[in-house]
Amino acid sequence: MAFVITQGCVDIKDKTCLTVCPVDCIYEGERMTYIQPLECIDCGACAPQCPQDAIYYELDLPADRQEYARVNAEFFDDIGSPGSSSTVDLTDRDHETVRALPATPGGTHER
Amino acid sequence: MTGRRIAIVGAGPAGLYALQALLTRPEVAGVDVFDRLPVPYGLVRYGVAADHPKTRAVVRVFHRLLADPRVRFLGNVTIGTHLQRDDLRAHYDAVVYATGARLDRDLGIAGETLPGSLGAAEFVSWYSGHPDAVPADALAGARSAVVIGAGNVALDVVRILGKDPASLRDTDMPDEVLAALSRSTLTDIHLLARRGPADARFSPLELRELGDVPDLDILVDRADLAADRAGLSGDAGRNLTLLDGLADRTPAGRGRRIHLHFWHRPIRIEGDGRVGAVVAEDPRTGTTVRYPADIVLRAIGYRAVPVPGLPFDDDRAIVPHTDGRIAPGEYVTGWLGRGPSGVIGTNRPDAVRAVASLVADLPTLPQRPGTAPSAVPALLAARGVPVVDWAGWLRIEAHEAQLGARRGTATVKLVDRARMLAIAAT
Repeated sequence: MAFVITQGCVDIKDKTCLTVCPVDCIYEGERMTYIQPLECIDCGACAPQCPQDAIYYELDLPADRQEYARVNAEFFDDIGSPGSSSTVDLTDRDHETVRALPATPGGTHER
Repeated sequence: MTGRRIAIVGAGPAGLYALQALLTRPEVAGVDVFDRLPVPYGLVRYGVAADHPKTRAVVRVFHRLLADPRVRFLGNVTIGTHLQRDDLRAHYDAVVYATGARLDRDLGIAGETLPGSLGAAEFVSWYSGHPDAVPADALAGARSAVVIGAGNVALDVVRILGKDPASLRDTDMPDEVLAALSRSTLTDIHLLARRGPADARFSPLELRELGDVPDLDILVDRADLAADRAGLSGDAGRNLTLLDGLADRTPAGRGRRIHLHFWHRPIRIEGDGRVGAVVAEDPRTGTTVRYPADIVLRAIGYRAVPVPGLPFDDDRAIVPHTDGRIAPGEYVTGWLGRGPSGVIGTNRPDAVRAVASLVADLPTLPQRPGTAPSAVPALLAARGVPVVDWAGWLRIEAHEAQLGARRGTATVKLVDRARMLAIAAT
């Protein structure tokens, strides 16, 4: 079990969560941020910081956001557990589910 | 200009996130991290419950920081006793104070000081194997416990008291703590929360975990849950849903019961020579109720201890500061500066802010003259202080792993300070 970032983050990426994560397990992708579930320590520091209310504990995911547990986990399929988000740059990639989403109105993805 | 040398007082999360921020700065040549205990990690070691190994995993971050070649750990050193504030000012360009909040807040009600009434900090220290903790004799023969508080510490205490100790054998709990919990004769554990369930500061994770403990009956009075649920923030709403689920359960007649009482404001602790009962009042109606209590545990918050020589706001129990700056050259972060709130990660932005103030001041701070890095260890040796350095801690850690192997778990904590010092010195 771990905390999970959901669709509310897409094209917003406020990133306050990154500053409070005690283990740097939140990684920035191109359109959203992702939690590496094997590195998350369940401390819950991130969720109340999110202005989008996009972060949930896995068991508390709303019905229409269930798939994001898989989206967060699969984002790391190729790279595994880097150990700390300060050591890698993943801002050129996203999970395919996120890539397929339309641009969020007012977000960074609008051209 | 040669690199600057900084001291951090306190090797818990607050101090170690300050260390993390300092190590990103090119002007910082060395950091000495002091702790009054022979071991690092503060409340991660002595506050995070033994059955929460996942949260303890934050240690891997802290270990990396303390193992950095620019860093020295100086354990078993108390500022105000072995070294004074002026010693630190003489030997370091800047000092970050991060000593936390280790005392219990008082309730301010009659009977609070009766034998058998303990603060949660005291009790958590004991079950966490803290070297200065007093053995919890109060547990011996106790049938009924009252835990006062509505936060995660109260839930930790209730859960540890309620659990089958056999399920804690695979944690790092010291053998003597496991033995004392195994002798427990508790049948009823009452948690008293002053206000309603919507005001509880439980994290839903911890509440859910309590509900999942096997072989426990958990009783919640449904009438206590009649709250206005509209507009409740995420966690409060989740807590209420979880409490509804607990209230729906049919008690299975198990040998140990947890009672979660809301709207129960404790007004006095009664007892003849030692605690015997807690009287609580419903703040909405004024009606009172009395629960037998052989042990009372107050989990209503922590309180910082002043650092000798530093200013202290006694009402708020913090060191006053602006953006972490006490005065140029002296900084504060963590609970000592903001009071006992937040989770481990909350200390990170706090530390970043204090270190930003420090770095901004550095160009105007005098470079301390004639302070070779060996000066402070030499001073401590001259004063007869047995300092535990990083290598010493690694020996303690290795020894604890051996104790763990003997019990079939990863590690078992050493409790006795003299043994720790002996092992560190081998």
